[in-house]
Amino acid sequence: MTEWVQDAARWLPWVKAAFLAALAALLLALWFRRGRDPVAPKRRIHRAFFAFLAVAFLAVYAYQATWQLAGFARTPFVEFMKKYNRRPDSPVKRMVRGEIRDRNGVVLAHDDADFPGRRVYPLGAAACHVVGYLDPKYGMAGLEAADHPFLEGYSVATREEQSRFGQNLLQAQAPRGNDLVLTLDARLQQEAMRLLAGRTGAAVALDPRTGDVLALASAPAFDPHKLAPGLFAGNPDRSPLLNRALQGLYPPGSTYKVLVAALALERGEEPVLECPPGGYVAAPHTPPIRDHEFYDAQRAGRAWGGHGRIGLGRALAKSSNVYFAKLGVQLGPASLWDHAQRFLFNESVTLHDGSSGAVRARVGRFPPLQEGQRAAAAQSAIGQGEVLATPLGMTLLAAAIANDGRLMRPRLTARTDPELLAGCGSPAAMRRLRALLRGVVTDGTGRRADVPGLEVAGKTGTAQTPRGEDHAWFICMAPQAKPRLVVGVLIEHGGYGSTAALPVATGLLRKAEELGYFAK
Amino acid sequence: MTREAPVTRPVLGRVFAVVLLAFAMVWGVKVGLAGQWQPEYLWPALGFGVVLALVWVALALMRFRGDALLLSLALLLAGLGLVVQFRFGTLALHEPARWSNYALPMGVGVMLLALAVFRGPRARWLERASVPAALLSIAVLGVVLLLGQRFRGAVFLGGFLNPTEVVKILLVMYAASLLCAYRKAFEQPMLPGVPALSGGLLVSVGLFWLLPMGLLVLIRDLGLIALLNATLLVMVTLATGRWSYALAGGVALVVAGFGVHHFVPHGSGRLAVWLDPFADATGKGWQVLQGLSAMASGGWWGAGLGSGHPQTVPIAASDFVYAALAEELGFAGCGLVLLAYLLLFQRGYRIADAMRDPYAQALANGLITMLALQTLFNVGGVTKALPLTGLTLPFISHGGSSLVTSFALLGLLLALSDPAKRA
Repeated sequence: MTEWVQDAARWLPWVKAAFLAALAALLLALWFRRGRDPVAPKRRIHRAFFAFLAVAFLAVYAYQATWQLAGFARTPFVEFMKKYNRRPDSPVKRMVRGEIRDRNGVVLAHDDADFPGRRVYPLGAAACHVVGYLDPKYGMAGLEAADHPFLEGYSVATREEQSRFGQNLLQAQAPRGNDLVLTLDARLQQEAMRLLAGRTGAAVALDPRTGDVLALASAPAFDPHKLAPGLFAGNPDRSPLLNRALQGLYPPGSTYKVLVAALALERGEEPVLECPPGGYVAAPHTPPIRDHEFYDAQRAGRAWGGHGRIGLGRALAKSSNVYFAKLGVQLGPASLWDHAQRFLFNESVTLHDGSSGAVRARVGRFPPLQEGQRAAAAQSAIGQGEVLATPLGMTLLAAAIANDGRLMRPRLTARTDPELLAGCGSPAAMRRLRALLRGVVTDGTGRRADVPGLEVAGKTGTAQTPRGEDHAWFICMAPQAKPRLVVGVLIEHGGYGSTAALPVATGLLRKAEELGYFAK
Repeated sequence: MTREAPVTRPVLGRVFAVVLLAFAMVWGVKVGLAGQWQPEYLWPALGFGVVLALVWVALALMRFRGDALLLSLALLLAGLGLVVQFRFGTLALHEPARWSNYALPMGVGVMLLALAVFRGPRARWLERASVPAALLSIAVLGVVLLLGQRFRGAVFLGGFLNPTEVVKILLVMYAASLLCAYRKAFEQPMLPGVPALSGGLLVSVGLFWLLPMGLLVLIRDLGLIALLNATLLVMVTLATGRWSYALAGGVALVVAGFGVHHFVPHGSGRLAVWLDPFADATGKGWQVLQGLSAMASGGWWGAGLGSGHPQTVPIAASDFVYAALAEELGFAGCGLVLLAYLLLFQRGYRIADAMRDPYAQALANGLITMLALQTLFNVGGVTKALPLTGLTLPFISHGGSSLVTSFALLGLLLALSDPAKRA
């Protein structure tokens, strides 16, 4: 399609030249038809040549009109003038940039009515990371940057866009760029930001069936109207400019056990393993991996007898480190790593392919494991060691399980159709896994997430960090039988997943229920 | 003393009055929009008035009976050029040493000189001077090649004097004589579009046409080459009444264009920019795109003289002056300027029509055609309808050499138009 347009564009000057030549020839022919008057042949040819000259000037003058009067119809020309025209009163400066709207038409960014080019962000800080900013001093970020030409109106990739641009020119007094419609729900987004207020972390809500990103929140946030140098030079730990949902890499902790369980279920295995209180030593000269109950008991000065022999469901519900470390080693380091690749760990996904850039995010990072690396496999299986994941990445893991193993590309705009990104497992195994994760909520670490009527299934995570409190995770989906919504939450140094991250996720689920996301 | 026919002078006077009025109106826009009145604003009007008065007196003294409208149109355009240059600040009256201040009087002086020397029966001197003219053009080109300085892709002598401008007239004079000397060969071509070749023709063309062209190639003035050859083509066509020459020439032009595109780096760049200026918008396409941006901000009626920002266009005062006109006088103003040019050319071809002498006719054809094609190439280049040729806009562009040459050309046309019989 675009090739065809480019091809045509290459020949256009010649077509134009041929057209002009034909026009000139026609006029000359008309001129000669009336040439039976008794004019000397020399005079006639003089007149003919003058007529030719006049036609040539007329053609040049008409061509001038296509720039001087109709230059707006030439999108590369508009782009050039917007970028490089230094006139203070240039007509292109009156052009209005397109709006950014959410899925329900709520405006997230629009031009100031009095100052075209100055942007207003009605949600303020709530959508700052996704929408980004356009600032005369600090440039562009987020979708404002990724789709700058599209919003400005000079990127016309398709014929539909071309015709819309033309209609804008004809109908509106001030020509207007294209509007960008997102899959985001402003109400969910605001709720996510409200729930994250005061924390450092991220929350993501996805529709697992389409990959629509309904909320993508990162805290702390910034007010896009009040950019200041301090924002760009501040403490990197607090840096509000960082979109933690897409760019923050954290050890996933126990949430990663879901992926190990998925592998076991894929193989049709639900082994019963002995989980002694003393923990599990995966390889000689490595410290034992113990369950958190052991440490709780130790701190309280009590004794703890261990989980004993438990199955996969109980191990997930109790989030047993010993069980999953053993299971990981048993499944094999290499297959553990391979299975992570099926869930696109070590890859990045494109949330939006804009006209001048893309919004991308890494799923996670997992250095290759070879056969025999038992200690590393045991650490990885409980989401520690060298495994890292982004909040979006863990939400995608949940989304793949929610959608019967079909991982849909997360998309920020509905400009493209839903797209299957990867097949991550069989529907039967995923259904079984969802039932087990439902058990986590009804009967395990995620009990507080059991919102009545929603059949929430999920997994908590408490990831140890070298410094400070643990990172708190919670990934969940609802309803368990056929999930419509997936939520992933990370709170940096939040402590336990069940106390720090879980309430944010349930808050979002409740809001979604209130908004009708689970109705019929 | 016999009484002259009393027609010319009143007509001349009225036409001059109209020119002065039109000029005053254009000039008034500048003063009106610039806001603050400064005595300096009077200078262009005063200077132009003085020049006009001198021309009027000189023509009256000479008992000029030639084409007054041709002269008036040219003076109108030159007046517009004066205001535009004043607006650009290239006329700096507080700097009396700057010689571009005197370009218009010098040009008019040269015009009057050419008119005085070659009017009436002495037009024949031009034919006799044509071979020396060709030799002189070769000499000028040789000197430029040896001593010139390169600047913006062209070659100049000291003080931005561009002597290649003179070559235009000299070579057209020679081309006219070539057409007369080998009239039969041109009128009875051996193939459509190819004159009957003979040793003499080949030697003449080779020595006095192809040799200067070769020198111009070395100087890399492709625009001038295109202009001269296109002019020659039209001259041959008009002299013989055979369109086959134009056709064959057009084919040759396309072939030459391809040749230039593939073998001359300087030329291929210009063609590429013409075909797609956006491919290198901030480099080679910059100038033409800035010019077009100026036009786009001019719209229908323009910002008014002095109120636009044409200085954002590189070389706006010279080659790209048409973009400045488009920005400040608007699309409508450009139409009037082009109309003035077209009327001027029409008068030129009328003069050529009236010539009985074949040489005079060929010369008149050549001179007016060259002026017309130069205008077309300049306006076409600035509007991106044609590739850029680096030619100036006659009478309006900044550039003393160009202005003087255009007036010299006008002087010759006026001389041919003047049937003055010495009583």
